[in-house]
Amino acid sequence: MPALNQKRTLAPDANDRLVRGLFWLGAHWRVAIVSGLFALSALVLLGRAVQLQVSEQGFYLQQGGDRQQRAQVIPAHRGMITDRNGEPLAISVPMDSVWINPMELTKFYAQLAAGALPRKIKDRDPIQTLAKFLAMPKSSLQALVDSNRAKQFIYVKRQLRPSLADQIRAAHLPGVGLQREYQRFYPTGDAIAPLLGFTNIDDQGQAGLEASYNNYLAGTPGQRLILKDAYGHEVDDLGVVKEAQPGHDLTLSIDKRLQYLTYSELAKGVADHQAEYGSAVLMDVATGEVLAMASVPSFNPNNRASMSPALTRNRAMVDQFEPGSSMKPFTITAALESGRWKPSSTVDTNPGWVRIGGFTIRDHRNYGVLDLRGILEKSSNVGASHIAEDIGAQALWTNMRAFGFGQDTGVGFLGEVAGKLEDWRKWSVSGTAAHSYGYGLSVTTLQLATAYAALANHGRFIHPSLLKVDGAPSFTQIAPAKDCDTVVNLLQSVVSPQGTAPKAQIAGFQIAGKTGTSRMIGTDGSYSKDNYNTVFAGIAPASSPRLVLIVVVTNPQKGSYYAGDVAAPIFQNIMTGALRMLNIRPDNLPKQPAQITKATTPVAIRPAKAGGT
Amino acid sequence: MRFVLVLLGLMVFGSALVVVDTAQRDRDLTRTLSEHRLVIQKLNVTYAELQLEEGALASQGRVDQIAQSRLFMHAPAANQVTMVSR
Repeated sequence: MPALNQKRTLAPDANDRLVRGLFWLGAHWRVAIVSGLFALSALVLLGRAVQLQVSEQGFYLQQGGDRQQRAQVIPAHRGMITDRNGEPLAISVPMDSVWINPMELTKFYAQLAAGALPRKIKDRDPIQTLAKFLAMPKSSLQALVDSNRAKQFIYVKRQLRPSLADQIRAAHLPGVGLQREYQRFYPTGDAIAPLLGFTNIDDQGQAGLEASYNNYLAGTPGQRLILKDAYGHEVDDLGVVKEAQPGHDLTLSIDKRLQYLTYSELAKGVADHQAEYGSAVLMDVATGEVLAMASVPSFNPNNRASMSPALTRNRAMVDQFEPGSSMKPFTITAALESGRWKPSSTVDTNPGWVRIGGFTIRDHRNYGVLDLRGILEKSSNVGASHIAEDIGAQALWTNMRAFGFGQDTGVGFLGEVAGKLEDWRKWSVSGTAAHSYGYGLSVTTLQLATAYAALANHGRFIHPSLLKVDGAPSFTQIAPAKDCDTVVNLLQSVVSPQGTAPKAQIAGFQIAGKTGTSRMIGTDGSYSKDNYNTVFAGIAPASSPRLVLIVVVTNPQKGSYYAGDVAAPIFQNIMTGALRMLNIRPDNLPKQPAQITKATTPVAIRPAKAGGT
Repeated sequence: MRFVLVLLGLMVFGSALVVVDTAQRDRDLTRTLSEHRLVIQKLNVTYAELQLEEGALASQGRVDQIAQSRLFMHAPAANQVTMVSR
């Protein structure tokens, strides 16, 4: 008894007051016990409060936070790829993926069977409901749950339409969750697919520009801590844990309309000639921007099932070929640059063939004496070989190298090849001759376009770009402007009725161009007599070049295999449309027709803006 | 002295009430903010879908086909063109 204890210890030196108190206690001992108990319990309560508020505060704060705090995802989607006018070429659209927690579902059914769940739960068969939403048989969903009892997360279906996902969310099914994801859509479909490439189901670039610029395009979702009240409302923002990094938009140099034109005409040409594949590159001479880059065959990037490595290959940059006669303009440029040749200089190509270094080089037929224009117009291999012999391997190599052959173009496309141009010291005598008419080296369509653009741009070499270029790009003067202009002028004969490609003519415009028909190397390593690669490289308008277009059609099986019959008409179809779409002024109207009227004030031409405001 | 104490007491009480009110208003505003964030997300979804729809409807192939078959459009021939020079 505490009261008795107290009495014994305090009794010896108790003063008067204490003695009186003890007397009182003796009389009211019941009250003393009760108030002592009260005091004790107050002490216990106080101690407990201190324990909760002070020593265990951290624990309860965390527990409370776990129940009320939520980490909210700040979404960041992958950047858009647009063409030069801002038209979307690749868009990420939010979708929802459905996942289930098989462990929770199994538990739910077990509790339901045991009658342990409150009666107010309406949906007594979430698997059935979900199967109905997803339009899949209940048995297969049931099997998925049963075979994964121990797991807590399994995707049932990925990338659902948001409207359907909202219905599933509203149903509040136990053990069923939704996750926001993004799916990539390509409105232009197959027209540009090999260039853009595609992403995988996790929105990561797998091929093409999607892969090359993956880090730039990809977004990283962030996280924010929030506080929720009992009703699930957000009541407090506790700050951003991780800042979201939205993906950047990529603006290409491609013009959607020109791209579609180029692709559809190329695809038509490849189909007409039953060719194996083809590619085309349309380039802006002044900026080096690629306005269109088509590759046939193509694929539908919106349907993964249609993809195969052969279809997703971008033939314009990943494949290389021997350019054949389309290299001759560069041989002629080298000849003019050497100072030993003038446009009027002549070569005797009699008798239509020549033996150099143990090889016989042949022309189509005997063209007799040709000047430089004649060599290009008739595409004389004998003539080009004589020139190469005269100026030497080094001069030829230096010139080709300067025009970018055998080197990376620097566009940064994943899987792009650099072509092949061996060092001139390794060239044999016959090899030097072969290089002069485009054998012994290999190039890509893009390289050829870049080289022709430099030729058309008065010898100014500009690195090509797949991205939109703002302002004037820097250039390198790689050949005298005078010589390049001369070659462009000479190349106009190629599309004349006497030339190799009259089918590349365009009414109203002067066209400079060159054909190239080369034998392909067969499986046995020797040149095939049945398989040809055809190239047409053209510049328009020749008097003041704006566009360069290269068309390559490989292995045509139907009709003629000459580039003048295969690649040249495709060039004509594409270039006609491109000149019209870009509003380029004709430079070759036969006579000033009566319809030409002189406007007193300049007519403002506003380009029609697609898509409205 | 007593007057000052009473005044201070009242001020403490008053500020406590204001704290409660501010906390409540903060919560309301946060909730509104989160609702707006949701709306932004929803609108972004709609925007992406509309862009996609526009891309599909305005695809060059479709425009080409409608222009030719339904509107009977074609590229003008050389003699139909009037050149206007500056």
